[in-house]
Amino acid sequence: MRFCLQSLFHKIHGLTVSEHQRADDLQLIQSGYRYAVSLSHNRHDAEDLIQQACLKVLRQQGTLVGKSYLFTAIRNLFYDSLRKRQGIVDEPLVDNLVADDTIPHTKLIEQKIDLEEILSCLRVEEREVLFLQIVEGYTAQEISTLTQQPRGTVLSLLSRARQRVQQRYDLDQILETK
Amino acid sequence: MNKPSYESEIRKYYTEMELGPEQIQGLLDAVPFAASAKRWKRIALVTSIGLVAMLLLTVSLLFSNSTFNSQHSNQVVNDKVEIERNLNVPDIVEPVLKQSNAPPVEYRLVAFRSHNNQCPHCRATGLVFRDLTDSLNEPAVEMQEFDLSDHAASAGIHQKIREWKLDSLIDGRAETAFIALTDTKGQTIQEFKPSQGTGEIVKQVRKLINP
Repeated sequence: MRFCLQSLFHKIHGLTVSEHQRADDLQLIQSGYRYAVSLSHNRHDAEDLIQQACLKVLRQQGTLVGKSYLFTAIRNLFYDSLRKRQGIVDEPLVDNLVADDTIPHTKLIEQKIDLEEILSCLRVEEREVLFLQIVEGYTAQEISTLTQQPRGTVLSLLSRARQRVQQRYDLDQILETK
Repeated sequence: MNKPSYESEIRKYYTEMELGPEQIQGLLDAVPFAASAKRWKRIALVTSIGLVAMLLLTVSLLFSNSTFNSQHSNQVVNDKVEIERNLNVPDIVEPVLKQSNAPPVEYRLVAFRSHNNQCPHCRATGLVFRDLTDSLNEPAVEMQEFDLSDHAASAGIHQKIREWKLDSLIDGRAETAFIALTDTKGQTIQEFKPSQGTGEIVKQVRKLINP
């Protein structure tokens, strides 16, 4: 009886969604969540981000639209919250802002370095472009469009991120062999 | 054994990361509600626009109607004034208004006889004029015979001569008999003699009044 009333309510308000659409939305939300994790590097923050972004997009568009739209919403929300928390403003990418690779070295040598710690050593921008390229399979041009950065900046970020991760990864392997 | 590359490690790290089922369910349930809300929002917007358009149309119609009414009432007032003005026209105009359906009189065919039937010329003139009265059927021509020998009706005859401004036509003609075609202002167009005959006179009159 309750199911019948619920389905009737859904039919009246046009709330029936096909299973195919639901599966697509599920994939989209999971992708968005991973992107949020890559940005914030914190699961709880990522959960908040994906929920806020989904509600924002749904309120504005009525549907989740697409991956690019959702990613852009997540990105904007993340940087907004970051500005609110830290009071920072957008700053151009300069060499002295790149993560200092000397800080965690001694610490990392002493303990086992896992991937999460490796990724935490990267800057947000580096982690973001690395995620978009390796996990989502975006090209540098697509990443530059999504993040609204020049393609050269994206390539530079990618190069530095790869270099940094490779160094840490090699170091981790050396420690394991010892 | 070779360790997998860092890229595959990163890919695996992120791929294994998934949002909890409760949160996913909550978000997925929100999707149809959001779509419905968006649809109702669009309907409300369209309805509002329609209502505003109808309101504007109604206001414009009311405005135009009031303008028309004011113009119409002014017209009615003007018509009333015109009617009242017409009602104040002197009585002499009334017969003209009453006879407005008939074509206006443009010519007058008159016969003057000084001796009635005592003289042959006057008698012939009377006969021809009576024939003309029967045969000449022209609404634009008003016909009148003046018997100057009838002393009883002398005042009425002279009155009519003055009204029709025919004084100049009979001035200096103490004893005469003739038929004349004049206009409404008393100007003589042509005179006819009884010897011309009824048919010829009719033909000439028609030629003069219908050139």
